[in-house]
This record gives sequence, structure tokens and C-alpha cells, in this order.
Amino acid sequence: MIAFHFLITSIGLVLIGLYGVITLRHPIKILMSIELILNAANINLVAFSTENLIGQGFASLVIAISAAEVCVGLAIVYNLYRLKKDIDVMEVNALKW
Amino acid sequence: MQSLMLIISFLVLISALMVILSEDMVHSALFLIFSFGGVGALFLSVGAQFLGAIQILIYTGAVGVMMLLMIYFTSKEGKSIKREGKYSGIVLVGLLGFLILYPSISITREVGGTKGLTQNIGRLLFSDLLIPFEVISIVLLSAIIGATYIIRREDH
Amino acid sequence: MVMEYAWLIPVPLFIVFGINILLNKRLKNRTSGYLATGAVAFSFILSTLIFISSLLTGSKFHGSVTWFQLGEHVIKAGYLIDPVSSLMLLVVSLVSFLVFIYSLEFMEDDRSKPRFFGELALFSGSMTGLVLADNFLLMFIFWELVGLCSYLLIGFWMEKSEAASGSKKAFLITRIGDILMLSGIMLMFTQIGSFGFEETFNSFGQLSGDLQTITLLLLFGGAVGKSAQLPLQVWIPDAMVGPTPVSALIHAATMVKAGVYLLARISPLLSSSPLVTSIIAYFGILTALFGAYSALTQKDIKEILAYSTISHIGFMVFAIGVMGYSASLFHLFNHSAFKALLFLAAGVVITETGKHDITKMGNFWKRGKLVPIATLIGCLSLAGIPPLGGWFSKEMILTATMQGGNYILVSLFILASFLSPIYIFRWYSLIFSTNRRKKVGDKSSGYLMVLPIVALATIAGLAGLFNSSFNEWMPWSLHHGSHAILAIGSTLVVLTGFTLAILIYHLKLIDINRIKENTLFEILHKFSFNALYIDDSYTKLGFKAFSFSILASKFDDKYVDGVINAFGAFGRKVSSKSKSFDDIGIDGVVNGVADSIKFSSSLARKIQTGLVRDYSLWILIGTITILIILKISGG
Repeated sequence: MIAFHFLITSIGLVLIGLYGVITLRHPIKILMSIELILNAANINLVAFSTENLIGQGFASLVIAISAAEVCVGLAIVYNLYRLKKDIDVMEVNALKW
Repeated sequence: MQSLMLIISFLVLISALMVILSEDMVHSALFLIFSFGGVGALFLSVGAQFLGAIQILIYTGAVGVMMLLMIYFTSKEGKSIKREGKYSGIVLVGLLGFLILYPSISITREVGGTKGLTQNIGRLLFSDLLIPFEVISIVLLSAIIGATYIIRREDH
Repeated sequence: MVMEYAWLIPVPLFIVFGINILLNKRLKNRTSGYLATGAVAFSFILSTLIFISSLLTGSKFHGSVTWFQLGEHVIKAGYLIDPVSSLMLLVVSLVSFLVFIYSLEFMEDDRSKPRFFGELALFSGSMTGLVLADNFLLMFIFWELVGLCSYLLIGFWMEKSEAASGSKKAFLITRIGDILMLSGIMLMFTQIGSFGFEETFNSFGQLSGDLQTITLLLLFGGAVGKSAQLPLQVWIPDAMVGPTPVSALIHAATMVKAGVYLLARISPLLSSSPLVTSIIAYFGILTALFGAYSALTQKDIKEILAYSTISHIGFMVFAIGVMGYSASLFHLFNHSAFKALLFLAAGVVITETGKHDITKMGNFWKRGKLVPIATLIGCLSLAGIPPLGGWFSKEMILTATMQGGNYILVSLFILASFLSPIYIFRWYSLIFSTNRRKKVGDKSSGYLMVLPIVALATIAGLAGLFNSSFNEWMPWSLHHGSHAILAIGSTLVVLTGFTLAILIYHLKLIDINRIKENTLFEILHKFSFNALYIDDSYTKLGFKAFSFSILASKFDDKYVDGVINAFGAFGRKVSSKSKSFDDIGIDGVVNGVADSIKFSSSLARKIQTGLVRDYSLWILIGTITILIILKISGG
């Protein structure tokens, strides 16, 4: 099988995800965009593990990490909702020095 | 097979785009789930059977359901937040895409080939990737503890 | 052979950190303190044994294991014991031990004692790890860990907003230096293919001259951040909001010396590059002058000591710059003893009076003679009065400077050492000397707080005896005695400063208020009190660049939509009679100019928005820039 559609899918997913991260304002949607980017990385890892299985093994680790990330991310979103009742990332700027 | 996969990739990209574009949060979550499923199909087509199954189980199952649940928990009716800097974002992302694709990428390389059966992946995870595997189990554990800590109520 | 077990030093501290953090409130307040003190006592005993065996035999030990593999590079991790690291180990574990004992009483009433001792143990463990590391990568990891502990402990009383903002400031500003250091390490790795000190020293000469200079300057950047040298010194005074034992341990005796230690470690590389060493020397001496000058007029009991720390680390860096490595390390040892002592004494004063402003203190001499006398020894050593340790190390630095033969540096050094006795005896007199109008509080401190002070005073008092054997033991030789006239002269200068301070602040024979009426002195006073306004100008200038995403959305609203609307309007205007060309044309141009000025000034508004999304946008822009550079340069 030829790599064309794998590459196109992964590049497309990365670009769409990045676009989402920098333009969206709802934190859950930003998390979704991050998931898309992680999936794009996984597609490449899986598609090009031709010689051995290391790529696929790594992809499974990436899946585990992203599950952890969603878990913590959603907890933070929920807490934000409880604290502010308004989950707009533009309102969350406590990281400012 | 090749053309079927092309269609699936196309659908994955379209639904990923819809995740970003749709105004309704529930719709974007459903599109996300669809897009995850499509990626799972792509995995299966190169023989990564274990990963295909995991993709369906964890992404479309666990992650998708958790997203939906959180959307129901936190949604407020009638309020949609607009995107910001739409055009500048397209310019930046387009520039990045152009730079990645620019001279040419090898699209004729063969992909797939090794069968990613559960047995093989399991052997791999417990031999060569043992330390990353253990580290990730600790990361997962601390993520769970962290999430419960963040989300707990203060009053007891 | 005791050196083989050096890797055990940080281990119990990390374990105690784990216990204290995990059990936290379940642990009895006392138990957590005793556990941590026990662990640090173990480290102290082991470090002392290693120090003694290194002092007696002068031998080295290097143990390592394979850490991980990166392509064809095998990265090793290990520990290296030589005179430099064993001295540093002793300093770190000794001061840690004493500070832990002191904290047992100082933090007596604090509810979150387990957290305090856990973080303090993590700090001591990481600091000993930093000292033991045998390669740059491992050192950098511990380097970051001590930075983290500094952040956590400055913000220990995080319910106070100054503590929270002070800790953030310290963390962010040291981060600038850390990034420079990491780039230096990575640059070296790409050229040499190894992180290890020994491999690096062996093959560093193969690099081209420019590359050597850049690498060394980047590493020096790391030292500048951690050791609070100009221009990154602004975080130390704000770090003083942390608990006093923390200031004594982290921001006086150990962590801020990490930069000096790094420079001493890479001394084989430095000696090949005269340009870099002269840059280091000027940075160091300017910092020393700046710190001493700013310390002259501060009012906060701890901030004076903070500026004094900046000044004295400036001396150490300066000594590295003039190739007086052993002088620098001897001063490091002395400074750790007397500065930790002064901070702990300040802690006693603060707990007994509950005040921070030294102009409102006095009469402390009446409260038991032990602490005042110990503090006096520390002050004398800091001022460089013979025959205490501080005098010997200053003389050693002076000798090294003379060997360089640069008389500008010599005179700057003498000027800086003239200021030391003035500010420190202003500090001492205002706190301790008799003043009938001022009362002392009625709280008094117990033996756990007094004993470490006395121990440190003993060390500070006796350190001078070991200066010649120290010099022989260190791997670099420094010849003595060729500049007797200058040595006597500089001592006289220091004594003059000392007498002046006594006359002004203790005996009050010279009225300070009358001096202040002079306009020149008033300006000098203002500049000194505000530390040359460096901090203020950073706040005003640096962190208000611009917020891109807000800008981008504005750009969309204003310009893209504006252009579309303008086309529509243009069509309408053309189809109708062009009533007034002036309104659209001339006003349009005028408004356009005004708008574009507004636009470009909003560009320069804010880079620091606090929005994670903006930061990710910057990452994207950075990636695009790197890709463009790669494409253009034919990658």
C-alpha cells in the first residue's frame, strides 16, 4: 500500500488541530484539537513501522498518554466551570506574571 | 482497498474539519468520534490490528464518551463562543503546511507490512519498551490521582 | 574506600521527601522534622568522610553506569568526586544540616511542617546531586530541580501574595539563564557527542574558536541566572519573602553558588578563552559593586543581606574571571559560613521582634551575648577584617587579579571591598547597638536556633587557618605573597571602611542626616535604595510587548472586513455621484495613517497575556520560522 493517503491524512489532521488550538476559545474544543494532533502523530508512527513493530508499540504508548491528558484536561475544565461558570479560555489568564 | 482507504482518509479529514467548524459542541464531539474511528480503520488497513482495536476502544469509546459527558456537565444553553483570528490562523497554518509539503514528500514509499498482532505488541512492550511502558503506567496512575484531586469538592 | 558510596548522599533525602509529601498531614509535625534532620545528618557524615579522605589523599573517584542510548551515543550517568566537588558537598551538607536543626524550632508553630521539611529535603538532595553529577545533562536536571525547590520554598507561605509573586519571579528569571545553559549544553553535545565532563574537556579544543566562545558564553549565561549576576539579579531581593531558613540555605549558602560551581567545573575550558574570562571578570566585578552599593541604603533586614549576597557572588565570579579558581572556591566556602550565619541571626531577630525594618530595631545586644558575638564574627569575616576567613579569601582574589595585571579590575575590586564593611556594620549597629528609645520584644529563642549560629561562627572564625592547605589541595595553584604592599593597602582600605561605619552608625560621631542633605548624596541614596531602578525598568519595558491572538482577531475585524467593506463602499460611492472626494479620499488617508500608527503601537503592547493559547501560537510561529530557515539554508 502506498503512503499517499496516510501522509495526507496526518498532515491534514495536524494542520486542522493546530488551527483549532490557536483559534478556538472553548477549552473542550481545544482538547479535541490536541487529540487530533496526537492522532496524526500516531498515523505516521503506525504507517511507517515497516521493519519492526517499535512504531506500533510507541503508538500504543501515545494513546495511553493522551488518555491521561484528556482525563486531567477535562478535570481542569470542570473545575474551571465550577469556579467561573464561564469556560472561555480568554478569561483564564492567571499565568500572567 | 486503496480507493476505499482514500475515501476513509477523506472522511477523516472532513470530520476533523467539522470538529473545528461546527457551532454545536455535541456535534463536534460526534464528528471527533467519527474521525477517531476512521483513523482506526486506517490502522487496520496496514495490519496494525491491536492498535486498531485500541483506537476504537480508547478513543471512540473512552475519550469520546468522556468528552460528551463533560460537554453535558458544563454546557450552557444558547451560548456559543466565536473563533478568533480566523483568517490569520488560516494564513499561519497554511504557511506551515506549505513548508512541510514544499519541495516534495515521498508518496511512493510502501507502508505497513508487519502484522501488529496483540501477541507481537505484547512481547515488544514487555521487552524493548519495558521502561517506557512502566513509566507510562506511573504517569497514568498519577493522572488519575491528579484528576480526582482536582475535581473533588472542597467541603469534605 | 568511602568515595564509592558517594551516590548514597542524596538518596535518604529523596526518600524523606517522598515520605513527607505523600503522608503529609498524617505525619506528626515533629516526626517530619526529625526524619528530615536524620536524613541530612547521614548525608553530612558521609560528605565529611568523603571530604576528609579527599583532603588526605587528594584522590579522585569516578563511577558511572549507562543511562540510556540515543542512536549511536551512549549516555552515561555517574558521580565524580574530586577536590572541587567534595568541598562543595561538605558546604552543602553542612549548611543544610545546621539549617535543618534551626528550622526545627523556627517552624515550630507552622501547620504545614511536613511540606516544609519535604521540600527542604528535596532541595538538599538535588543540590548534592548537582554537585556529584559527572555530566552536563545530569547536572542540568538537578539544576532545574533546585530551581523548582527554590520556587516552592519562596512561595511556602503562598497565602501571602508577595510570596506567590516573588516565587514566580524567581522561577521565571532564573529560567532565562537555564535556557541559555541548556542551549550551551546542547551545542556542545552536537559537536562532541557526549555530555560527560571528562570527554568534553578532552575534545573541546577541536571546536572552532567562535564556537568555543559561544558555548562558554551560553554556559556563563546559566551561571548568571542561577547566581543572580547582573543583569538577572532582580529575583533575589524578592525571594526574601520566603522563610528565613530557606533564605539562609538556598539564597545565600548553596543554590546561588551553583553558578560559581559550574564555572569552576568548566575551568579547564575557560582557561583557553581569554575573551570569555575577561567578560566574566567584568560581569562579576560590576555585580559586586552593584550589590554592595545597593546594600548601603536598604531598610529590610533580609534585603541588605540579599544584596550583600549578590555582591559576594559577584566577587566569586570575578575571581573565576581572573583565573583565581581556588580563591573563588575559598571565598565560596567562607561566604557560605558567614552568610548563612547572618541569615540565621536575622531569623532570630525577626522571630524575637516580629519586625523587618532595621531602622526600627536596636538594643539587641542585651539579649544574651551568644548571638550578638557570633553575628559579630560573621560580620567581621564578611567585611574582610584580618585574621578571619573573609580576609584571606579576599587577599587570594586580589593576588589572582594582580597576576592578571589589569589595574582597572584591581581598583574596582578594592572599591567594592571598601563598601562591604560599611553596609554590614550599618546593619549590625542598627540591630544590636544600644538605643534607649527602642524596646526589644519579649519572645526569646531556644538552643536549637542558637546552636547552629554558634557552630557557623566557629567555622567562619577558624576558616582562615586553613587557607594555605586549601590552596595546595585544590587542583589549581595560586602563588602567594608577591604583592605585599597592595595587600596591606587593601586591608587598610577595608579598615577605613570599617572605622567609618563604626563612627557613623555605632558611635554616631558623624551625623548621617546632615550628609543626606547634600543633593549629590541624596541622588546617590535614591539610586542605591532603588537598586539602580533596574527592576522597575524591567517591569515597565520588558513584559509589555503584545498579544498576538487578540491582535489577529482585531486585524480580521478591522482590516480584512474593512477591506471588504471598503470595496462595497467604493462601488456604492462610484455608482452614486461622488459627492465629496475630500471626505473619502483625504480623510480616509488621514484616518488610515492614524489607524496604522495605532496598529503598530498595539503591536508593541503585550507579549505576556497569560493565555496558554497565545503561547502555543508563539510555538507555532517559532516552528514556522525554523522551517523557513531550514528551507532557505538548504536543509
